[in-house]
Amino acid sequence: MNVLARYWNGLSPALQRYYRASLWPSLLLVAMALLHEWATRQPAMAPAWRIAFALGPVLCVGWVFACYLRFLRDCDELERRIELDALAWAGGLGFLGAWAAIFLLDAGVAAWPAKKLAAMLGLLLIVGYVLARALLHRRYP
Amino acid sequence: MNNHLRGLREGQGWSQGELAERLEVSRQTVNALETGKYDPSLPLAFRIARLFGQSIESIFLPEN
Repeated sequence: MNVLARYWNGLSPALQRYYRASLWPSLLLVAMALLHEWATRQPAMAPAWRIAFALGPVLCVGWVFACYLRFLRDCDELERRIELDALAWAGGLGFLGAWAAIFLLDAGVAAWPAKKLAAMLGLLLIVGYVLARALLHRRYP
Repeated sequence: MNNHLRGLREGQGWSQGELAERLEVSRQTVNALETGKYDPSLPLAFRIARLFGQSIESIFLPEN
């Protein structure tokens, strides 16, 4: 608990506000993802409902993204520079991954299902962002 | 870019956190400025100069 409190107090005010603002959409995202999982196991469900349950989590991601954009406007200049550098690294890695996947699929040396490929690219974006951000924060202690 | 920020801050008896609060930036930014790892934007350089009652060029010096 003490470690958590120390971590929280060490965060910038803008980051604290961002974490507070994104708590509800994140919880809602988990709930919507669980509902979507449940909906996929209901074969009699109408397509309209199926679409609604599939896009529900996306709306929550959009809400989190809106919180993140607000955080970017809210944070100070060094923090914004770190965030933008991390986003650039993540975007670059994701872009490289997407191109590699396209060419490997096209060459016929890989046969990944689309769902798995999309999930892998999403994971690459997130891991790239987290790693780049951690390295940049080490550079500016 | 080199600067006299640490000396000016210590001269006032302020911690990095206190200076950060006065400049409305994070403590991380103050530390990066003092260690020369980060050069401030022009608006922040003006805020620093105004806070210490000095000109920008008397606080920030080009490396050569």
